[in-house]
Amino acid sequence: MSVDPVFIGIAGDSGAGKSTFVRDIAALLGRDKVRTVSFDDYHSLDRVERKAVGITPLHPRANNLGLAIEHLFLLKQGKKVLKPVYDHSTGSFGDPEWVVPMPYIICEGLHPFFFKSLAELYDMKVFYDTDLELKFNWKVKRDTAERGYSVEQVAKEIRLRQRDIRNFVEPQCALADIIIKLKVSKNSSSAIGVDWKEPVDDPWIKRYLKSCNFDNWQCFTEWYAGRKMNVFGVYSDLIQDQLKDMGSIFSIRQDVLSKIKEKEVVPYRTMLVLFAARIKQIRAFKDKDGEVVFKDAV
Amino acid sequence: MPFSRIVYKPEYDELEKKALIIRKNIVKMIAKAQSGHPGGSLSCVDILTSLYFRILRISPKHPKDPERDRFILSKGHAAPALYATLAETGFIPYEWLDDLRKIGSPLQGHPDMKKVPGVEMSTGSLGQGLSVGVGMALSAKILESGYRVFVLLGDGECQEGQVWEAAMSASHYKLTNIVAIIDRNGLQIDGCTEDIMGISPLGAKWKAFGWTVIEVDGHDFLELIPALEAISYTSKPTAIIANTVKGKGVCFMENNVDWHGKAPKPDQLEEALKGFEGVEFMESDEVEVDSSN
Repeated sequence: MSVDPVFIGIAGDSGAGKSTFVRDIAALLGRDKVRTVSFDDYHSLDRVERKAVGITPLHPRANNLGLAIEHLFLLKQGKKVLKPVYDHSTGSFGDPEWVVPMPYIICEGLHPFFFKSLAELYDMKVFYDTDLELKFNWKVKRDTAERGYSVEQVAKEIRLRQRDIRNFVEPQCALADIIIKLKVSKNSSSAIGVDWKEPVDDPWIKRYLKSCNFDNWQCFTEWYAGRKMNVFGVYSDLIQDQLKDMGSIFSIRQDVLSKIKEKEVVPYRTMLVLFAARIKQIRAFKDKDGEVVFKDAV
Repeated sequence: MPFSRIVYKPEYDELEKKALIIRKNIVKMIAKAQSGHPGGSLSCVDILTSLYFRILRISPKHPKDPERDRFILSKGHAAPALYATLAETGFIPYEWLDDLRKIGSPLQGHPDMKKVPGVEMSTGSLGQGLSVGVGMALSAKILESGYRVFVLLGDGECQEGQVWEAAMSASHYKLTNIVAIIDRNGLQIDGCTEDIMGISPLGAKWKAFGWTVIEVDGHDFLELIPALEAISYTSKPTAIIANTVKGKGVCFMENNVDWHGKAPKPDQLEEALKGFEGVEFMESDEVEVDSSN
């Protein structure tokens, strides 16, 4: 049986929390159905070479995006590929590994839809836009505790990366279907607030809101990256009731739902469920028609 | 990695056809010569096909181009497979194939680099090909040349100590431009490799010697070609363990150790050729078997 995988692209700065997000999403979709492809594996230069040339991994030239395109096209055709493996601990390349097409393929990294030919491959493109303040706090916490840096050193490194982030990573948000912004919550200092932004003219949102009766969601519009976006603040108290309905609609297990309610970072977990639900809907469309069609929604 | 010239890449189904033609040629050549090694030749056909038609940057018009990729058939007794592939690629004329193992013919029982264009190294004494390959890869590194070296070894050949000396030096000099392909058909001249001198676990051995190890099905182009292309993104030398079937393509030769070094008789040839019906073949389709040999 050939699989027509659902392709999900997740772009964002390193340290934005992509890997955590991917891991949590995989748990919701079923780990045996998900294959994660990290674009970090497509670095064309190892750490020593990058230092010699003087570019950061954020630069597209330090990445073998041509190979990534080739591999994703092969996966889309249901063929398996032999993917390089970049080892973060040594900064060089390990043994390549086989990637077999799975129902869900999640591609995460710095440039998953940098080229248009790449962007067209995905069924869902997410830009992971973490608040700079939050990112800074996380990175300082990790690097001072685990890697022996001082706070000034970390701050300097973050500053040095900003230019490449602006030039090569952030432009991708113009192509994204959803922009997820994690930020420091207004209500409590420990919890993370989540903004969920979607283009106003996106056919998905009309269909989705209609089918789930989410009309009473609080939402405002803003201009972002040249597009008019609907911004939903994902807060726990807003959609506790709807969570239950959604669980039944998208067959999310009750124990998962109850776990979400217990967690402290409720908005984040809620956002996960929303996202997983939508991806499952794409899967259902693909299984039914073989292709996702939005005609009736537009 | 930049390509030195733009090459037409045949699709997988086309490669399968090429492999069938090469297999048919091998059987006919050996039957005509009434001596040779059909088993090991047939098992490595798909590896040779993917190398010569998809991977190697070579041109029959410039067989001595210093920037060409090198291929060394370390298991020299599989020469019929190499000859048939070279003929299919255009390095040697088809007519030469009729004179396999004849006195004065360029195509001897083991490949001769001085007589046959496209042969990089005279091989046949097992175990030496990888050492030569390491030398070539090292010189490419010193000369800052972009060519790559591919060495095809037999699995019985890995019992030779010299192979492991070469393996050690390849990882010592960090030769990322060398690939050793091991034709793992599990049989050698006297029987099963594991009974004669066990080499399992072969992958773990290569790994311990500092190589990147990829295990593939040696008759599946969908696995072989990505594995051979993977050389461009590793930081170690690459060993590809291709699990194959000795005598693949001829039903009565498959996994039969008797066919390591025996030529088919006329009636056996007829039976073998039944399996290749409809396969286009070289011009002289008639093969006369001289049974007096």
